Amino acid sequence: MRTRLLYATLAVIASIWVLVPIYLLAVSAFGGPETINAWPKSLLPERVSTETLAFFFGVRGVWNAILNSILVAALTMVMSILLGAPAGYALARFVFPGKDGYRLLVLLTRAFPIAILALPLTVRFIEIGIYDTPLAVALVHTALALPFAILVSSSLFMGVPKELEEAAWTLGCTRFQAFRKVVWPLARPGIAATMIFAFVVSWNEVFAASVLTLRERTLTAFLLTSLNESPLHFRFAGGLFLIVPALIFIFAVRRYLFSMWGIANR
Amino acid sequence: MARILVRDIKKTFGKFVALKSVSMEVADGEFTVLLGPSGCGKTTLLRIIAGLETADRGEVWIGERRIDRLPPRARNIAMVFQNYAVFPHMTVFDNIAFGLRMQKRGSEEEIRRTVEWAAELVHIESQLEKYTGQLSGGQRQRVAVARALAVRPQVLLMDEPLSNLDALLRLEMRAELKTILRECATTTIYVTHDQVEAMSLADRIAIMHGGEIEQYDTPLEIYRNPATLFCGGFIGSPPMNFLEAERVAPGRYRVGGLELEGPRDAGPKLLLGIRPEDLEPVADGGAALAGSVLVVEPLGSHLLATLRLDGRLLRFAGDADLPLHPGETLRLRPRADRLRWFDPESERAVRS
Amino acid sequence: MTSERALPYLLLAPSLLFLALLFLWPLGEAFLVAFSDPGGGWSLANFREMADDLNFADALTNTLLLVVVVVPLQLALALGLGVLLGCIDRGRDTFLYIWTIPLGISDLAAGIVWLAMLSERGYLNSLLEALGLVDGPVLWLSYETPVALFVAVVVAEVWRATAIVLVILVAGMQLVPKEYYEAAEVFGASAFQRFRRITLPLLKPSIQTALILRTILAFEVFAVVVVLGGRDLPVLAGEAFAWQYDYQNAGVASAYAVLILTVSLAATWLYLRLLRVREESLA
Ligand SMILES: Nc1ncnc2c1ncn2[C@@H]1O[C@H](COP(=O)(O)OP(=O)(O)OP(=O)(O)O)[C@@H](O)[C@H]1O
Ligand SMILES: [Mg+2]
Repeated sequence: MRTRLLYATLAVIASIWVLVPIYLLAVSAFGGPETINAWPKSLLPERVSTETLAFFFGVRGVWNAILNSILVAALTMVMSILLGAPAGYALARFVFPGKDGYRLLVLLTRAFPIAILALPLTVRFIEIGIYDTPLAVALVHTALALPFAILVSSSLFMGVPKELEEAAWTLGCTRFQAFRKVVWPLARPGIAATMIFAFVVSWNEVFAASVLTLRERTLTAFLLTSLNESPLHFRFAGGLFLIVPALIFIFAVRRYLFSMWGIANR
Repeated sequence: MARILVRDIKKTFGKFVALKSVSMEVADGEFTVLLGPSGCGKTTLLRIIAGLETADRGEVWIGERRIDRLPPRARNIAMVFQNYAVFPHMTVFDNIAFGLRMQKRGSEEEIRRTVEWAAELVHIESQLEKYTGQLSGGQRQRVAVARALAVRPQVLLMDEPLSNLDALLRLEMRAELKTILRECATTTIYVTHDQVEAMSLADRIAIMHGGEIEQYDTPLEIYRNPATLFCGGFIGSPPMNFLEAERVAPGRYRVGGLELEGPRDAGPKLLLGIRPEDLEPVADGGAALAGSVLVVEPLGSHLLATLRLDGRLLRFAGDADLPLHPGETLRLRPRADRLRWFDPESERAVRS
Repeated sequence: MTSERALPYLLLAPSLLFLALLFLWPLGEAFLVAFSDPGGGWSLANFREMADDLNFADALTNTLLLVVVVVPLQLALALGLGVLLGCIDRGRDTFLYIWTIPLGISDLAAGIVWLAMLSERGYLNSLLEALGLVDGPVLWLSYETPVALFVAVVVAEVWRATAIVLVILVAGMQLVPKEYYEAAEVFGASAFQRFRRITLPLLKPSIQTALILRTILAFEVFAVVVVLGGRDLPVLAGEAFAWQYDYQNAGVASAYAVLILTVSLAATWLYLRLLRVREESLA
């Protein structure tokens, strides 16, 4: 009984450790500008105001940055699944020469720092005229999210027994029909989780987004490059706005989180 | 016409030879059972006929059509998978209707009627609205059978379709399957481990062993005249007895204390195959195989005894009323017209 | 049948092309840029310029120190939380959800979260004053207090990125059959023995993965540091960014990128050597 209580206490402490900083950031962002300089601080907001958030959204470029962030993340999500799911299917269903080599390449891509991708690509993107566009950032983010999408979708497809597909073939389906009628419906929830994950990878990425944009900032790039000029409460509001989607994301994919990581690392 | 012709099929997985050189012809409307121990290549052969696996060489014909290059959907077959492969995201109804819908077989109304017909055959008509995830293994297996029957294929391939049913239901469905398939004149290949099932269903049985068909014949013929030691040992329960025989003169062999008429032009050492029920107790003091009784199993309809004879075991099936007790000595003589001889080297039967 | 054989390659082709264009190519180019001089020949000029820079030595030491301090802390914490998770009987899913929240939080946002805590008029100072430990706001995040700044970055990194280690470890723990523990319990193994003799060895592949992934990411640490300390605490990725963005010198920036890559690969190799996982135990 005593040990049970101890475990529960530890678990609660760990949860507090995670949650309280987020809560305090929210208090800072919702408490109105004067909370920032209040001294000493109180744990409860003295009043709830949207002034800070209004100020944040009122700053020139913020809306554009948010829209860019969403656009880039959506592009990343779509591209990584369009490129990754077919590859995952091939890895899951076929035995062919070069398979191991391909797997190795995919695994290797995860070992390389983003800096080494983003810097040379800046030059190339300027040359072909897509520098400072959401597409350019999305391309680099897709390179980040793609290996994950490939490995996870491959294990999702492996989770659909091959015999189901074969049964569909013998019952009159083409390969494509069998995929659409049998494999896809069964893999869809996992694929959705993978897409959400790709979205968040992109939404959170800072380095490449900052290097590859000048005016068409994403939200992270905007916040990072304006750190020196912006007041504290602006940063707090921005930080909070970055975090909120994350909470929703983890909630949406919590069922898949562990199986995704469990298999993606084999 | 939907005979199945399989000619010289070879299949390897890497270095492992799963099928050596398999040939067989199943006549139109015939019910053939593939029987063999686990891992002998039954499923592999079925999958090659279905087009789910590509053979290294050889041909497959259905009717007058060579089909080994066609995709599964163009072969006009249906298959029941060993692990059912029913679609978990569909109801029982949609599962059974799947093939009909994919092949655009008639209106929804016609499809509904066919589905109900097939569901009734396998006794799952009350489960049609359920998702297959909620079904037991036996129920899923029946859905798989119904799904295959519903498309009324030319050729039906079934991989242990009744393995998960309880004994009673199994007996019942076995009988029904046989009637339905006879009525529809569907050419069928049916895989099973279970030799009783094989004997009761099959027009002909193909005994597979180590990637080869060792014998392909009617159940009775295989029982009476096994082509190999393996066939004799695999069919029949208890299996055939094998006793060492030594030639004493051309055409005469000594087995235990007996001298028997054997094949004329065969080697000096043979194996005598004799079924347990083809041994007869010897009352008088004449020459016989004398063994001490180890175990007696009274089965009601008859009696089974295990004897020790020259350090080997011998099975004997006799009249239920025979007064036998462990420890006694039993003297037996094989029926002269039921002697089967085998070459111990080639393991094949030697005709006398 | 020929199309059947070509199908997997057709399915792989788009992603392969993409990875080649956006991954292999820039990778090669980064090396080219890093190892060339303005004249166009091969040289180590960029690396020399990098090494001569005032910030270089600090950036290298800081990054290495951060890795050495942060990664083991995260591993220990995640192991602890993972085991704890197995011990609590109610609300497991809720705790797990809460603990994995930081997984979705970017390093930039994490930096901002801890900025709110640690700034001059932040919550930490308030707390310390309430406890009577300090007298009025104290400046933690400045170049005059490098140790405090370093600790701040460590705290923020541990807060943010322990979740990913936890997820990998818990995923691994779920693969360990329950029977092992039950058997061990039957044989009288204590909780600690069970952890040492069953959990740890069976978790080795997961630990290896987590370490590799976290170390590679830790060498790239960037936004957290920038938010909390600007360039007062130089790190490698920050320098690469500064050379590219502020000084517009792609050569030196690429040299930094190559350096980050080199240390990442070296660390990966080291882990693979030290924590050798036997093939059969992976199956
Ligand atoms: N895809 C494959 N790769 C490698 N080996 C295989 C493959 N499929 C089957 N085999 C091997 O081929 C042999 C025959 O397999 P098959 O499934 O045909 O046996 P089976 O007669 O159906 O056995 P069971 O009665 O147990 O179902 C087995 O030894 C099996 O291990
Ligand atoms: Mg089989």
